[in-house]
Amino acid sequence: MTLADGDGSEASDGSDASLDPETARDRVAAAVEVGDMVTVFGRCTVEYEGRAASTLGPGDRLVVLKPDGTALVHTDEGQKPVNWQPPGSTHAVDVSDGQFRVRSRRTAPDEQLLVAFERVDRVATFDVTDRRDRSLTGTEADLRRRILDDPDLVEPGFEPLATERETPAGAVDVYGEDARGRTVVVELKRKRVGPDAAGQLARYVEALDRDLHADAEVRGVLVAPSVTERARRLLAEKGLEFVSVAPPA
Amino acid sequence: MGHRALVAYRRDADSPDSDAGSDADADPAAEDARYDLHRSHWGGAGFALVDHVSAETPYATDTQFAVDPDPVATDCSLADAASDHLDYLHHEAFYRVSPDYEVTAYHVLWFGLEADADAVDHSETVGHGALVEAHPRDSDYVRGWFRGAKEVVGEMVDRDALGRADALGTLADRVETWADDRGVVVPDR
Repeated sequence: MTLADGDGSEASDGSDASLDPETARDRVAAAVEVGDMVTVFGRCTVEYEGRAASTLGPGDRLVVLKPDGTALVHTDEGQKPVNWQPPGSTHAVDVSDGQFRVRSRRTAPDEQLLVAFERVDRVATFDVTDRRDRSLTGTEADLRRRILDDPDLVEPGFEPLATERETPAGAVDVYGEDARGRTVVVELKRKRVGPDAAGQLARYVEALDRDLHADAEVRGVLVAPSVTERARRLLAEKGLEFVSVAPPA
Repeated sequence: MGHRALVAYRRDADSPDSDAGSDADADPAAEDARYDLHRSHWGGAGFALVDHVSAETPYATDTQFAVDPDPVATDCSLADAASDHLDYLHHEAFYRVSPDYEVTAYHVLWFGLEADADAVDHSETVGHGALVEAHPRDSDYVRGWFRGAKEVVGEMVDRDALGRADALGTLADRVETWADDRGVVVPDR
């Protein structure tokens, strides 16, 4: 399904066909929540904070938010974006001082991209998941294969020991050890996930904690393209970790 | 949640684990129908088993979505499966397979509110949710809608606008209302 608002031809001559900030916020928030791809075109400023800091003054730009957490800011020139965030970042939107704002954040390293629109000409959202669902590519099993072939994707030194290992809470996807010999439970998700996935992983970790000897340390790692902000908070509360890995294309 | 699936095969007629007589014309959703339950670790992926379970490949063997041929329970009603055997957090999908291998997929919606309400520390995972017939084209929308519904109900619990029992009733009502003419299974509580 594709949803679009605004009219580029009217907006380009400066008429008032633009979207109000609340509508833009609601439309983009709903699309991000369900994992749609989002494009926003309008006049905006861009601020980046992280390993460096930079600011782009007001200009007409195209912002692309992908379900895997990627954020891109394009102008009308060049093939590369003028600013971006990599896969695994978290998209959040709000309205502040009458401006629709997109905040894209990653935590390791801590980087933030803030795009503030003084005018939104067009918002379009695209459900691009069905095509992949119906084919056999990009499934959980492919993601498992990818992790087993290259365990360093989870973290350097991770060693998978078993797949679908049973626990009292059910079978876990990948069971292994980290470089320090600690037990690691890996839960694989091929799509952006919400808080229940964090709760699910917590149950597996708790079950193994009870099952293994008393001084065994059990870590839980959720591997997925991206997580919602709420899921990220819940993972942190429960001492669980998140690694951004997407299934093979 | 999870990408695991629980698969209910109708025991009547030619189902793999039954010697009962032919009943292929019977209503596959009849209340007195009996099922055997099987697990699939990856079968919840995009409701893939809708396309991979057939009379020729009843367990989707040789696919990455294979169903374990050893049943986890036998001779269950659909209500038994939903109330006593399905873990609504562990499983992402539920399938009902008719005697002629027509496959109906269901979303597994967990009613646990521990991620949505500070007042809720722990929720049961078995018998604590609802099944809603899935239409694969809008599966992402359903998950997003239900996630939002839980967030709202969780907030109402935290603000003492709803007790926990009322919260469950509200979620069940919302699911049944939203589902409209889709099949819904809610465990007896």
